[in-house]
Amino acid sequence: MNHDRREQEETERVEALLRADPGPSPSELAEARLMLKRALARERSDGATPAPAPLRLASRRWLRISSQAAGFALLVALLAPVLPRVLPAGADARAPIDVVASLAGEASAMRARIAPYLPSLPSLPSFPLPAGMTSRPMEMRPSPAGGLLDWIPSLHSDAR
Amino acid sequence: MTVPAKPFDSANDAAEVRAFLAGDEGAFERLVDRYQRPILHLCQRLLGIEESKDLFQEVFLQAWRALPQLRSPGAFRTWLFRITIRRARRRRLARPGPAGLDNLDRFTAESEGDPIELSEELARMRGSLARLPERQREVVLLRHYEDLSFAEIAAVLGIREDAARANHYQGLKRLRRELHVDSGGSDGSRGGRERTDEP
Repeated sequence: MNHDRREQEETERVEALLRADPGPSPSELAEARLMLKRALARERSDGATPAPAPLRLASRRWLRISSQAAGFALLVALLAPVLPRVLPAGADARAPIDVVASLAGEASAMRARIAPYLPSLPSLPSFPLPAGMTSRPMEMRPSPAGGLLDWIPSLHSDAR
Repeated sequence: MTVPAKPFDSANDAAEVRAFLAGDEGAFERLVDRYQRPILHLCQRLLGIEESKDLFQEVFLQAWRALPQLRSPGAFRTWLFRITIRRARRRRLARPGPAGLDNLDRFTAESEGDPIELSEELARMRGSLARLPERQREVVLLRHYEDLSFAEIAAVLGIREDAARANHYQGLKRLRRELHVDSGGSDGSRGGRERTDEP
């Protein structure tokens, strides 16, 4: 009990001492302020201005979108050359075309997602279809179904 | 003696920040007017008298440059203290010699404004503060010199509120012990001046 009281008194004394610290004097403040004033003047004369926030936010968003697009392009570039090799020997000759069509579908979906953020983009180039193919929409193979993600397990499957 | 703390007004800060972002350079000057005393005081206690003016200048320059990135203008005060703490840590790390070792003369040196009758006790207390581990010292300073709540301290230091409370408790306990020993307390020794308690 006595110990607690002494501890309390000591704590109060420490707190009182902390409160009693007068802090910087007016002359110290004036000197620090003068140094700051000079530094700010130097900064302004160097042409440094704080950039407005909206511009920074817009550039950050643009950076995010372009990095996503670059990532997707890299994925396509990596996958495209290896596709003919990983397909089974007896596979349908149109299989690589289906894969490319899936990738194109993913690309157009991504383009639709990011289009509102882009100021303007040139129209995508059109490529002529190989001889013998019509311009009607291609039928997708029923298995594996649909999107690019469904293809990935089959690419890495091991028949053994 | 002790300068009474001006009542804190986050709405006023927010208005000045918005005015500055709208192009009113005078608004930044008014913010400096408002915070120059607490920031310089904190700089003196974090790094000592000598380096405090350089740190003060760095803090406000950094604030001037980065103000457009401040998401919540009402949080200007805690943001400014955060800049101060980080810059002070960086300067301490950049010092030559063993990291975190402070020259106590920097802290126990009298300031021009110190009242004569308080100088000896103040010097002892400042020396004890300088020997506290960094985190404890920061918490004690923010709590007792800047009147920040534990929630605000936690936000400034990026720690949990209960950690801020624990550091405050440990810091005061240590100060109590050191001051008691320094003034010839129960154990009779006058040790500790040369010791550094940095973890």
